[in-house]
This record gives sequence, C-alpha cells and structure tokens, in this order.
Amino acid sequence: MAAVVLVIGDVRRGAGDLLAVLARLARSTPAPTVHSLIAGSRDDAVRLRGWVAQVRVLLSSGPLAAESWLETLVPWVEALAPRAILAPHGELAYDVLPALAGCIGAACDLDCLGLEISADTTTSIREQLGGKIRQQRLLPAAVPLVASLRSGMAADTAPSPGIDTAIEALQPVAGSTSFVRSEITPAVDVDIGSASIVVGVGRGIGHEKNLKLYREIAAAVGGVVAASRPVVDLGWIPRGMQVGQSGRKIAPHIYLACGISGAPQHVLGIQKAGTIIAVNKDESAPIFAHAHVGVVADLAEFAPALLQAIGHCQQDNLPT
Amino acid sequence: MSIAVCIKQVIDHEAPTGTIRPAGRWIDERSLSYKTCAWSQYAMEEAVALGASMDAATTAVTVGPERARDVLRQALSRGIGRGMHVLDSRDAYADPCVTARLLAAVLKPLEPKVVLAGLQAEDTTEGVVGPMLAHFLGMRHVTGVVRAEWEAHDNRLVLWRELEGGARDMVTTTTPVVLTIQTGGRPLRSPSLLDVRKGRTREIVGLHPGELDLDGFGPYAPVGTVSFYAPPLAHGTARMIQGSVAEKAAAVAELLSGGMR
Repeated sequence: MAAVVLVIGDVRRGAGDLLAVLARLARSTPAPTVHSLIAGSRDDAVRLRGWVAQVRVLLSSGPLAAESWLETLVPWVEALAPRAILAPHGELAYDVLPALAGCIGAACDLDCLGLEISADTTTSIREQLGGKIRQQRLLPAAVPLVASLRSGMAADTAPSPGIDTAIEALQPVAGSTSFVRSEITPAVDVDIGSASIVVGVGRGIGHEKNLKLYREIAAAVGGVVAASRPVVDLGWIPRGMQVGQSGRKIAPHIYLACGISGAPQHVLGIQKAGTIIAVNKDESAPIFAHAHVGVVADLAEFAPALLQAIGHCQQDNLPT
Repeated sequence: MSIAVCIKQVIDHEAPTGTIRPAGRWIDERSLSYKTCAWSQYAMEEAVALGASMDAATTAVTVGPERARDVLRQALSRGIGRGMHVLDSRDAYADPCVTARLLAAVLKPLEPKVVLAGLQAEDTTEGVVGPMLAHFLGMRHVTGVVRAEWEAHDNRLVLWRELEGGARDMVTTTTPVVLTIQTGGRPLRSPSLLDVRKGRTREIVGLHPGELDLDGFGPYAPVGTVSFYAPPLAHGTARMIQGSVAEKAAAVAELLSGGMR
C-alpha cells in the first residue's frame, strides 16, 4: 500500500514551490498517495488537479494565522495518519509545522535537502552550521515526520492524468490573531534586479566604512552593490538591496560574492546568476560549493587589489 | 505581569579558528568558539522594549552548559531583569523538542504574557523550539516577527511579520502568546559600562533538568536516529584561482571586465 503524505501550502504565496514539492513526491518510487491542505480560493485548489488525491482548501482572501491552520490540520492528520506532513520551506513552514509536530508527537525537520520514505523508514537530510555539516534523521515508519523542503526547485514533472482530485472547501476557524495588511519593502534607487554585474557584500567585508571600496569596484565594471541579510540587518545597506529568500532573487550575468559565507537563504537568491565568483578567506565557506569561480583571500588585501586590477584591465582594453 | 525571552549561545561557525568536524551523533566541539545567537540578540531587544511598554518584569532563559551563562549576562546588561539557566551539559545533539520541553517547564510557573524566542538559532537553523514551546505552554504563537508594539487600550499586540521577498504583514494578537523574532528589527544596542555594572547586580537562577517538572507536556516526539556527516566537497565544481593576491585580483578583474563588455 502506498504511503500517505499530507502537503500543506499557501498557493497565493509560492505556488511554484508547492508544485515543486508535489512533483518531487510524484517522481519518488513508490509514489505516495498525497493529500493537500491549502489556503486560498476554490480556483487555487483546481491548480492541484492531477497532483493529489484530495485537496482541502481553507477559504480565505488573506493569510491565515497558525492557529487557523492547526484547527483543521490536527484532526485531519490524526484521522489520515500520514507518514509525513510536508510544506515548501518558507514562512508557512516556520509558522505551522513545529507546532503541528508538538501537537501530534512527531519529529520535525525544517528546510530539508533530502527526504526518502521507504516501507520501513523515513529519512530526512538537512544542513546545520551554515552548511558546514549535514544532519540525517532516520525514523521508523510508525513515527510521522513533519518537514519542510528547501524551495527553489522547478516543478519539471507534469501532474498525473490518472489521479482524480477530490476538492473540498472549508471555512477556516478564526483565531485571536488577525491579519491587518501587507506592506512591500520600499523601493530603492538602485535596481539590483536588472544589473548585469552585481557585487554582493557580506559581513566578511569587515566594516561599514569598507562599503565605499565595493561601490567603487561595482561602478568600475558598470555593476551595482547588493548585500546579504546580516549586512542589511546591521543597517549598512537598505533592505531593498538585500539578496536572498527574504530579499530579492536576482539573475545577473556575473555575481561577485565578497565575504559572503553562503547561507542557504542567500544562495536561493543567486541561483539564476550566470557566473558566481566567490571571494572568502575561509576555504570551507559553503559559498564555494555554489560558485563557478572561487578565490580564497583576505578581502582587506584582495578588494583594493581588485579595484586596481580592474583599472589595469580597462586601460589595456582601451581602443588605440 | 511578566514576559520572558529564550536565548541561546551558539557555535560560531564563521569564526576564523576551529574546524567543524562531524563526530557521529554530533560534531567535535573542541577548538570551536561560541557567541550569542543573532536571533537571540534581536529577541532580547524586543523583550526589553515590550517589558517597558507593558510594564512587565522580564526574564531571560537559556538551556546549555556552564559557558552558556554568558548570554544571560549579556541579556542582563541589556536591561533584562533576571536570568534563568537550565544547566544541560550533555555533549550531544540537543533535539529542539527536548529543549522546548525544558523551557516550558521553566516558564509555566512564571505565567508569562509574552514569550519571545529567536525565529531560529544561528548554528542549527531549525526554527522549531519557539512554536513547539508555544504548544507545550498551551499558548498561541506568531513567527518571524520584526516588530512588536503593545497597545494597552486594546490589550493587544500589533506585530509586523517578515515574509519572503521582503514583504511584511501586520497582524494583531492577544496574550498570552509566543513570538519568534526575525533579525533586523529594533537596532541592537551596545551596553554601556554602567549597563554592564547594573546587569551584574541582577540575579541568575541556576536549574538542573532533573529539578524540572516535565510531566503534563503531552507526547514526547521520538527523535529517531540522528547522525552528522561532512557535506560533499565544499569547493564543488568551482574553479579555484591560485596565486598571489595580485594574480588572483587580476584574474577576477579579467572576468568582470569580460562580463562588462
């Protein structure tokens, strides 16, 4: 008998990521029987046709609080007894999955890179310590796993025409947490999304005063400066110039990562860059696993040398 | 009225010294250094601000070995009223469910109106303890909060949650509630010498896990078999440029100038 898996998602926020999770399950052998709980409209539920055996949609025009999800999820999970309850990794996963795991006595792993459901065991793989170590959890089939899967993967599998999808609409139970409104990060003058060369700076540049040098490097090659989250949190650079899961996802021709360790949340934002050049003094920095070109160097020496070298390059290339 | 903040000392995986090596059921921690988790620091700032606006006593709680007491001292010097330290010296992977139960046992008698915790820890990046703690305490929770304001006239909290892509949701909620705090909210203050001195006069209560009443927190999640291993070669398929700093800079300059043309 095929394993039963329940997948949750908010289709209005990251439908692609939800479909990627469903595609991944469809590709696994043996493919599990998938049920799904989503928030949105009946039309949103129709988008899951062919992917899942059953979709329940919590009818709502705005985002739902964790308590509203849990009111529906907990009894359904108890009745369905799935091997795994999954979501694409993101804000919904943080908000709903750990509390669900607490309620049903399940193990919980967020941001998994790997998941395997065999007849006897469930295996999950995730990163710790900025990607410098991997954790594998092996659970007996009797213990459910609550997990989110790292997003960013394209759904390259078509839904199965053989699966009839039952759709059921539910009114969510209102809780004490109410959504008021959404706000988009204020736009900044520099559009990091359309630049062909982006110089990304991380905490490894050392100090805010060093930013000037990286701006000069970017300007010298017709690019712009962007930043990783810690630099934005420190207030060195406006939030509109943040690259990553909670910032912008960019696709420049060249991304020069300076002093960026390569946290998964940052890497999600540069996956579509043409060439990633990483400069870091820590040769074990995870950014090198994602880079096309790597330089192990101390930026205090390397960055001034780079600016000078760009000057030389441009002089050499001047028309004579 | 009381509010509490759960904070953590983490492995500094970006420290220039120390190599992260897997050691079966956990990692080899010899040679590693530690620091206060960034998410904990923002949670502390939010707790101090909420404590002032709610006129509530503030308590910081941590679970960890003796060295973890440093994060409590930091919390006290930043204006938190009291520290509680659950001394857990196990040299092993700390399952978030176990940590959440220990924290719940400490916090339950305090009957806090608001409990704050980091959205996740900088070392394990699990994001599980806060909401699971909420479950054990029978409280609701809101995750990814970058700003919390207490509205006394309505007896409610106004919260800003950070979402993917940089958007923010404003939500309101009532107490008691567990909030997990995202980084980048209130600016981090550096305590003055006077703050540090004041902090030294505040109490840190030491507790042992055996003293805590863990009954009544529902089913315990079995962790299964957890093991750790090194990721595939860090350099992946990257072409590593060798040579002097000037040679490396020249090679990168060539690539960038090529990209510009």
